[in-house]
Amino acid sequence: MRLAVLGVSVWGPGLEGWAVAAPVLMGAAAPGSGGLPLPPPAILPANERRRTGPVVRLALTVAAEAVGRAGLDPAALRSVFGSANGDGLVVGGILDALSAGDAGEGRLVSPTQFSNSVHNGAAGYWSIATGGGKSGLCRSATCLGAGDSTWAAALLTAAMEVQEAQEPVLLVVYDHPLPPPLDRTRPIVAPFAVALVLAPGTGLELAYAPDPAADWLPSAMWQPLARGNPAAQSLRLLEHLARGSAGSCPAPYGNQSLMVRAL
Amino acid sequence: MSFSLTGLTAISALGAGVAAHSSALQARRSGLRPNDYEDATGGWIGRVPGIEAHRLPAGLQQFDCRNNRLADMALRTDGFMAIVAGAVQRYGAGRIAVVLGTSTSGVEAAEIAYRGRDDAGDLPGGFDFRGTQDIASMGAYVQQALGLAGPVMVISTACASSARSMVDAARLIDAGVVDAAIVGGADTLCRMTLHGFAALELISPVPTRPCAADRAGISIGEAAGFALLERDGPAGAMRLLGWGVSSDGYHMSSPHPEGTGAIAAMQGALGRAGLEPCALDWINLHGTGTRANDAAEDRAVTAVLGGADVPVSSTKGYTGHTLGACGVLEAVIAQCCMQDGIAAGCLGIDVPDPAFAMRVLTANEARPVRRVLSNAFGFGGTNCSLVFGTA
Repeated sequence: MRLAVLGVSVWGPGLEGWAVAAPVLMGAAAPGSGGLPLPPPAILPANERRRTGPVVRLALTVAAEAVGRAGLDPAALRSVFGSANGDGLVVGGILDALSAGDAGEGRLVSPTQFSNSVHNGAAGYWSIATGGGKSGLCRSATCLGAGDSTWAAALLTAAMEVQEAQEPVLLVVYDHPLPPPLDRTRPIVAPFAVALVLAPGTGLELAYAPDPAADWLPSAMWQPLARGNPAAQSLRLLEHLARGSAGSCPAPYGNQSLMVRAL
Repeated sequence: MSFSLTGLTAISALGAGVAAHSSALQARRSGLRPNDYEDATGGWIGRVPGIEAHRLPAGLQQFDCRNNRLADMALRTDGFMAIVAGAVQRYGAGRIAVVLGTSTSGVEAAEIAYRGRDDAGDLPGGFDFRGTQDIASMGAYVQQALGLAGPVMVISTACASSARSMVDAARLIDAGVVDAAIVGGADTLCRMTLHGFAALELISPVPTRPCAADRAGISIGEAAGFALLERDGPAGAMRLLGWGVSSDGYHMSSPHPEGTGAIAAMQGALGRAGLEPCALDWINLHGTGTRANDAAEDRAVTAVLGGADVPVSSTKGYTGHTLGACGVLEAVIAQCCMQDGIAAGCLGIDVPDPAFAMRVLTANEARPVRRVLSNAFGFGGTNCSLVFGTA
């Protein structure tokens, strides 16, 4: 199946937004030292913004930039969010609170933290930011996880939605390091998020394949990130998009793969 | 385009398999009991007996947690594994996807591990994040337990998760990526959920009474259920006729008071099924028993029906609210009602909230049931409505 890419964004160490990342991924600029702070999610109303933490902000930052670059109304877009670990900072905080508190001593968990603990937290905040009462539009915002195959699974799911609806779909894939002690059981090397606005058209060719992915890694400089954060498996594709070059950038999907070709 | 829900089965507080659910619905027997899982949060729960004693097969121990145990129990119900084995013969293992839903996966294993941390704060060595707490652990477990080799993903849209799994799986089949998919999912009791809903002050002190004027909240339950989604199924298998998905865009944990997202989901499902509202025989509400949810759903259903006389009820009084599993569990309930010719009425209420405009059933209504609309709405303002029917 073929898709057009109408907008793109990325956020990772040295890749803080597409304007910074594109020349770096083209090889035309050296990456910065990284660690630029995430901007506050201006797209959210202030009362909701206060409730969000770094994981939601990571996802919303790339979502907003990709939709802006596509020049589309965010309220009009269906969206697919993918994350291996969801909001591990919130879930880890709840696990700490549950293990510290004694049963019977009253509230152990904050209502806001619990509401934010769902895997579709970022998708929920995105739809609050863009849809509903303000726009009158109620476009679906879904969320999935597939461990180390999350990039492939989310890209495939978004492509299915484009194909069925024949309209643009926002894809957002993100993962953030887990807090201690979970970080030792599931290491994520750095925060990384990617967003694409996909639409009917030509630009990418996708096909699910029963064979393992070969040659999916990006340039040497980015390989530790691509191996250390499931969302960063998108980096080889992002390099092609930055250069405007054609080429194969498959996504590992368990023992199978999603064949991806930039056209 | 409709799809067969071949081998549809579930396990919940009502029992294991379609027949157990059918007899409980006909007898109007609730599976709820006083909360004996986590005393501190009170209320009543829909707990499945036998999970603690259940063991996963040898070679798959890394997946051992409450959620995957209940999933495994459901796989071994109503001959589901044999049905999948037949599908592997027909389609090939690589042509069958696993698309499941859960909201909290195996987080109970992490809760236990956190209480076992050593002086340095490290988790016990036996804790396996990827096999348990990871949102996708059930997908990997089910794929391996069934010997499948197609794409795997786990949808996590809170309480709409297993309902939504059918939508994404149907698209994979429609696009020809696979020929069939295991759909459904599981959610199980955990302290995070119980304390979280307690903090939101949404746990009912008495068994949940959806649609009652004095309803006082949720009873949390647990369930797992599966079906083989495929284009052509055996005669008599219930079919997925349509679906609609939407977002409220309103609040993380409260429904839009006018139910605008719910309206969009229900209208989308009816439109895709090619049905007018009057063609429905029964609506199984999301109906969690909270004041806000049931009131918003009344407005939404009333708007969608537009005067069509369709009875509605919530079956959460039988099973509790099984969170991400409610979509597949209520698919089984829809199948039972079609087989038995009843629309199951709400439990525990004599008269519906007089403010409601929907026709709420407070007793079972004997009637032919051929078309059922089933709602699943969740945190994050996510909505999924499904239309089920006989062939």
